[in-house]
Amino acid sequence: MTSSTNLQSLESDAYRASFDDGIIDLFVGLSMVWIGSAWIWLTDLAGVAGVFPAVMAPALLPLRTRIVESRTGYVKWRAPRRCWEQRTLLLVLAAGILMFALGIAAFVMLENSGELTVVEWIMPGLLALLMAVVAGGLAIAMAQPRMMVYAGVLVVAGLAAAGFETNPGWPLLAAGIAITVVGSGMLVRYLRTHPLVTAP
Amino acid sequence: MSERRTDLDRLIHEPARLHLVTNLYVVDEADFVYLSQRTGLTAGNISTHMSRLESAGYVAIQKAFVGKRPRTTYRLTREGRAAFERYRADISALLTDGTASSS
Repeated sequence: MTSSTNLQSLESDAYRASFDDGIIDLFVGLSMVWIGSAWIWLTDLAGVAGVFPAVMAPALLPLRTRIVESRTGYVKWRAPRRCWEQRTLLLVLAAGILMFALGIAAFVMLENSGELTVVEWIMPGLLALLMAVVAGGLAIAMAQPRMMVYAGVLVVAGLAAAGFETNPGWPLLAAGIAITVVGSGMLVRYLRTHPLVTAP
Repeated sequence: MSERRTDLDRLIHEPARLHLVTNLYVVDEADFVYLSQRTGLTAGNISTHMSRLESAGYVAIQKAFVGKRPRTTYRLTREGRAAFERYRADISALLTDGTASSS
């Protein structure tokens, strides 16, 4: 029925627009810049790579809420949308863990059989390819086509890193800079076009 | 000759209220800022129309503070959702065969 379809598109448009602030893009981009940089320049301190995302992730939601709710308001989506969002995010997480586990399993098996050539070839780009899976999942979960473009950029950067046998940090750094630039631009535009609104 | 009825729910039929109710129908609840952004209505307009919808039992209004900021949240009640669905059926019938059968 046309009116149902129109109401669905009204809800979808509103949901898509709720991510127009670019804060999540900025977080993802900066995290990738940090991880890539740590991988390249702090090789002896690989654990540091996860510090930025781990520290910033819990602060992200309250920070975003504070910026967004005073400009575009608070909305609680209907139960089907919330369930779909949670289910998709869980699937993305599960897919990421599964791919990581499969990668390790393949590495161990091939190392034991002495046939590491294929895995070795992809290793420089593996991290970027894993991030591409996460970006693709986020594109579906958040209904944001631009995240699919990020996934594409990560795939290209990952394959290029594999082809040129670079440090695995380079494709992340390159894609992270691109995503950070996009996120910053979106945030600036959002703040310009959405001034603070005072509730009555 | 059959009677032609066009008794649409006038409370919802008013353009600004229709805009507000439609936007509330597709979400669980939303605050004043969200509705203002989605509909382009002013604070006074939203407040007036929401009071009328609340009086009819179509909308529940909750005023609270989130930190130091006041937040007015609106939610369609069960009656409000049913009334909007009736309105959709009526306006659809009116536009297709020129009748609105219920209200």
